[in-house]
Amino acid sequence: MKFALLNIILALIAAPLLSGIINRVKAMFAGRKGQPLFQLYYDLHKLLKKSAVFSPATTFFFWAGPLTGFAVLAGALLIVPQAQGKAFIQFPGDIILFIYLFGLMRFFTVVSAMDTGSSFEGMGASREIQFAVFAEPALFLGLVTLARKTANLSLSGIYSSFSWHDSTVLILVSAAFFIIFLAENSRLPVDDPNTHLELTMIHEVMVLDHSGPDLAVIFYSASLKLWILGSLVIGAIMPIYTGKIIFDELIFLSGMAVLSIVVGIVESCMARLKLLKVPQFLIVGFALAIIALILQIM
Amino acid sequence: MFEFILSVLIMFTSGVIACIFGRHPRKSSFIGAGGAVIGSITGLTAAIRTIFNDVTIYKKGICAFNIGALSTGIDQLSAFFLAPLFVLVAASSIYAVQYLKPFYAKKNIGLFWLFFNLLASSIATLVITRNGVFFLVAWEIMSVSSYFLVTFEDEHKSVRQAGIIYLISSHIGVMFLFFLFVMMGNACGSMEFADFSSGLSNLLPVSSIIFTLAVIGFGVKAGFVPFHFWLPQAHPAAPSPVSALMSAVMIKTGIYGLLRILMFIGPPRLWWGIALLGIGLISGILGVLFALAQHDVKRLLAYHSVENIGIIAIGIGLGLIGLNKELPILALFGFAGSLLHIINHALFKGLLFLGAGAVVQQTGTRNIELLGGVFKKMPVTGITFLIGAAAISGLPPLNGFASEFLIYFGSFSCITDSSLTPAISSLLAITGLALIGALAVACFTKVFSIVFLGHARSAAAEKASEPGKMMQSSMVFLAVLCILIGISMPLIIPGFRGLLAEVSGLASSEINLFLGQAKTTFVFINKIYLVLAVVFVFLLLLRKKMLAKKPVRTAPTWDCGYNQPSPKMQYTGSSFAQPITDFFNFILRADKKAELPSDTFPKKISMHTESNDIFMRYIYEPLSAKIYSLIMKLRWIQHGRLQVYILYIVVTLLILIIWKLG
Repeated sequence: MKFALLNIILALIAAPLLSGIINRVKAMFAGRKGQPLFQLYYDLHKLLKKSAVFSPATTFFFWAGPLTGFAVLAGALLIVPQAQGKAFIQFPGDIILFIYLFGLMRFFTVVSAMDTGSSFEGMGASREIQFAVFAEPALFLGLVTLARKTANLSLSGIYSSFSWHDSTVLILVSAAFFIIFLAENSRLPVDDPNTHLELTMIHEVMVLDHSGPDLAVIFYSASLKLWILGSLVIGAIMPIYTGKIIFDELIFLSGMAVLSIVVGIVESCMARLKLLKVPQFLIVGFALAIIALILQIM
Repeated sequence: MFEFILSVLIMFTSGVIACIFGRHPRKSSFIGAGGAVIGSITGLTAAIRTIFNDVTIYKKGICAFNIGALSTGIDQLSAFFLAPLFVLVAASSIYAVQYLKPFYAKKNIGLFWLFFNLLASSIATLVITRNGVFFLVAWEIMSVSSYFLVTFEDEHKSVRQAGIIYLISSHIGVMFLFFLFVMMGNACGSMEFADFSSGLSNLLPVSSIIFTLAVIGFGVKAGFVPFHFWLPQAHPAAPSPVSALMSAVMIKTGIYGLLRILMFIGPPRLWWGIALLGIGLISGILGVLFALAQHDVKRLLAYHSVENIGIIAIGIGLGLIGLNKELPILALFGFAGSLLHIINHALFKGLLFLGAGAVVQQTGTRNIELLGGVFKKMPVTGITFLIGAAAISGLPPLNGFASEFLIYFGSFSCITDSSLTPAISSLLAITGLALIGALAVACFTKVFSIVFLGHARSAAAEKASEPGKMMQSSMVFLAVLCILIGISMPLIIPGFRGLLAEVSGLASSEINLFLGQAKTTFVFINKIYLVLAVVFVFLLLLRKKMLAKKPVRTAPTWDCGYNQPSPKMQYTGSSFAQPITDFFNFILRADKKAELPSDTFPKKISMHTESNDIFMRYIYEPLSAKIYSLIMKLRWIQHGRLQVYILYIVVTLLILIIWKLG
């Protein structure tokens, strides 16, 4: 219990650091010095102090959307297994709730983007929804595979009972999860979080009109989402538990750091996919999950 | 039992009296709606008491014909179908009082109330009847009265056409039901349901035929793909309170009939379960895909009924597979999920149709591409519609999530089973439900944001205003129920005890195990909801405090430097859905008409997409054309000369006499 609480506190504190690491890696690849590691913390601080600008088109969904998104992630944080594969709350069936919480978040992100009546934001929202149609069943399939492998129906139960035997399935599922992780967090090659050309963006374009504290909540939520989905990938690829709190926490945190570095490397070496190719990329994730499942059932 | 018969009588009589007062629309509405509401309250209290006290009553009829006594009975299954019926009858009749006001001068309101109350009372009758013939009579009254309601605005050609399609399809459906009941009556020597249950359980070779007939006959009413074609025609044509009643409860009579027949024909075979699972997956996925491609809000909602009937069928299919493979958890979660979804779908689909009706009445258009920005004008409609939209998308913490969760949970429990059929069925159910869920979110973010958010796209949307208080209260009532069911699942789940015993026939120890497991799970889920609510309120207060002392400005939406934005530049529903509909175009086969920009200074570009039902286009239309041309060849028989017709009769009689004597 205490350990799981520690996990949550660490996630809340360290989540914005991930994007700092990613940006640092990208800068190194590009031969730049890059932003400070704690840039997102400075940004959040700055945004929280600012006032806000609203479009006359907007209704209360515009600002309620980001708040709902954050509340939902707080809920997801309670059931996602982190270090030692344990979560604060675990019950059989939390897998389903977990995925549907992201559905709820997406619903409100899209509604608050559409609230501005802007074409750009509509475009981003439409793409976000389209990619979810491919990503969500793939995530379900991956979790089904793990549920069958471990004969367990809760995320924590699944994640704390892996072993290195039969690692093919684990590797395939983690590969699928990694693809979903990139897509859901709007990273390359699905979405480019760095350009400022609206037409090429998905997540960033959906929040184009948000400002001040609302934008801060959005940025913070995005980094929490990165952390939560990242821990799914890390837990599957590195199921190493020593039983000692400090060591397990360190292993988990270094896993997250490695994951961010890998994302940085991927983003430095890859270009954004043509939009029409993105579904194919996501279907690769789906296919990996299916192959894992077939291996598991056979 | 008495309360139910009383409620049917109240609804029926008030309908007749309302018809008599047809010349005084206000009085007529008052009597018709009043009777419907009083009848509903009478029936609803009795239905809820039946569910929680686990009562079963069977009354043999007093009038004995050679078709059997007209018996009635109430059990858990009936009560589970009656509860949403009465809720929806009450809500939509209150709504209808104000909805009908613009029609006072043009239409006979008395007739509307006659058929409306007739529809409500015939559904209630067919649910409590325990005799095959009586059932079919009630079924026909239901079909015919709803036909007259669908064609309420019969001055439009499209409405008349929809009415004809509806009438034909429901009679094709009832033809299968006639076969079904004749076969069952033949096998048991009686039309009484009581004799069915004792006489049919060991009729193995016939039971599969009966199952097939039931799936087709009841499937037409329920809207299983490919028998769904009448739904997207009839629902948009009907007045909105009628669409709500039809989509929310009338199509469920198909599911009721199917479950009733399944209870008679003994232990299910594996292929029944697999067939229903397959039908459910196909209906679910195709339903939501077709919905996504629609511009007409009521047509879109009609396709979502197909989708949700699919989810219900998935649950029943899993339930049958679970029974056959002796996996009680799969069976119980499957049945419980689909039965709860029946109630849930009634609530949120009714709510969505009422909401859509309010928008349509206020703006005069069903085309979502002409709306926009309506939320500011109609906040109550907007909020309740949003609740319905989130509920139908299966999002927590609303009721749609609870029922889908049960089906998911049953599938997840059996994914670990070592034998292959349940594992693969569960896998298909999970993947299918995930796909359906994601597509439903896409579809309802589209409808909600295009209709209610952004800027108005037409003058009609600009001048919209909130509908009357009675219409609002109906919507609020249903929305509150959607939330309440979503968050009070731990209290509701014990009410399933008797129903599951009836439908699954499993031992009570297994049912208790299921109820306990489901209850603990929902208690956990509620804890998470509580956290969500607390965090949200905390953030809300924090945000308020932060922005309190700062100058909050208003500025136009960021338009990329373009200084004369027009509402036309907003994303439309079609463009929102286009990436998905394009991807699935191999199924949808939408018609596209595009005028692309041609020279350097293009004058006009346009784009029009229309997604017609592929089953209508590739199966039913060619088929009916074939039948038509065949029949036309026999036209010489019918030429209008009366004396020849009399000759036909005489010849027929002669042949019959000779046959009888010879």
